[in-house]
Amino acid sequence: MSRHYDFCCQNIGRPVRVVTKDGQVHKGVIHRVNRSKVFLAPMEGNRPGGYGIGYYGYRPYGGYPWGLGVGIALGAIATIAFLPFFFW
Amino acid sequence: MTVHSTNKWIQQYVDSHSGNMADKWKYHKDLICKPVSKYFTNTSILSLQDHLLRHGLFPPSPEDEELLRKWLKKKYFQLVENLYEKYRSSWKGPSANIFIFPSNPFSRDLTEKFSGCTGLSYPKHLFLFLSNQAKVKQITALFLHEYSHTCRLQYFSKPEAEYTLLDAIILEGIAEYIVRKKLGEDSGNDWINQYSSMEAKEYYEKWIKPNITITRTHPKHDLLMYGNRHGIPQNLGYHIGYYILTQFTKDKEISINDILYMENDVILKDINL
Repeated sequence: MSRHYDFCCQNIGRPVRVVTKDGQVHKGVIHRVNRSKVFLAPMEGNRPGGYGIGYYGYRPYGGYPWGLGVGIALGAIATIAFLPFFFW
Repeated sequence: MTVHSTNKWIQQYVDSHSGNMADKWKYHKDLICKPVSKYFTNTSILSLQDHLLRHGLFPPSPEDEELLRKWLKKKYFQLVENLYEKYRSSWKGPSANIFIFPSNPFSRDLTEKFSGCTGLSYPKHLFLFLSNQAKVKQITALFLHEYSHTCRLQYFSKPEAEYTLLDAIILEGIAEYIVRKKLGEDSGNDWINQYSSMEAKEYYEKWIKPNITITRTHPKHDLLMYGNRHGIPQNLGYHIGYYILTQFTKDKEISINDILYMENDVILKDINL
């Protein structure tokens, strides 16, 4: 069992910065965890921005489970650190 | 740079004939989003996929093959190519990577408020998300809106992280003004309120003015542009931008090319807010 499993379970909903052993950096909010992976929901800071026409939302096909979020193998994680959360 | 052959990518997705939703998400990522991701080098493919979905890209669904086949038969590409050539020349605009995709048919907000058509622009890239029912005038309005962003972003070129809330507000106001000027008052976003001067001043003082210099990546930026949370009126930044432009252009003869490349301060100084 990865030592990161309990940490992720205890911190669902918190924004984190994950560095994997191969050097990749992921930032996101811990969305869900299973025995092998942690799924991070992207945060605004990761987004490529751009300027739209006023529409911003997302409705997946009728109730299909969330298909998004970066899935990171727990065994591949080198470090996890909290990121400061923004409050209005 | 050009109108990319996204129809081929969509065809490949349709030809994958996957009935399994997990596979569909994978093909959606690999065949639709991955080819785009090489133009967004600082973003992971999953973040890009999520971002495009939130801005109107179709999501995978069990019945999407038939919908997408119908979409592929539409003559959207030639129309957009013609619009691009025309306005690139008349606005002395930049070349751009244009990506045309089907829009999300499951979003009521998108279908009802935006007639199923939406877009997203960058200094060098432009996305158009179109429904199966998109009309020529709607596509033209959307293209004018988005390409005006690309022109202005390119003209006042700086790293995206340095664009401010004021930049965004004026950008959106100009886009809406141009759409109406070119296509008539019945075009453009019909949900944009004509704020009374009292409302505009109240909202501007309360929400916009204290944050006018915050930049694109600040969390308050999109909150103030799109609103609908924390008591902020929906699409506040768009409404204020349109109010500023209608006030500025009132009783003036200004060409589209002049307004398109006008400094924010020139516009803002001229109106009473």
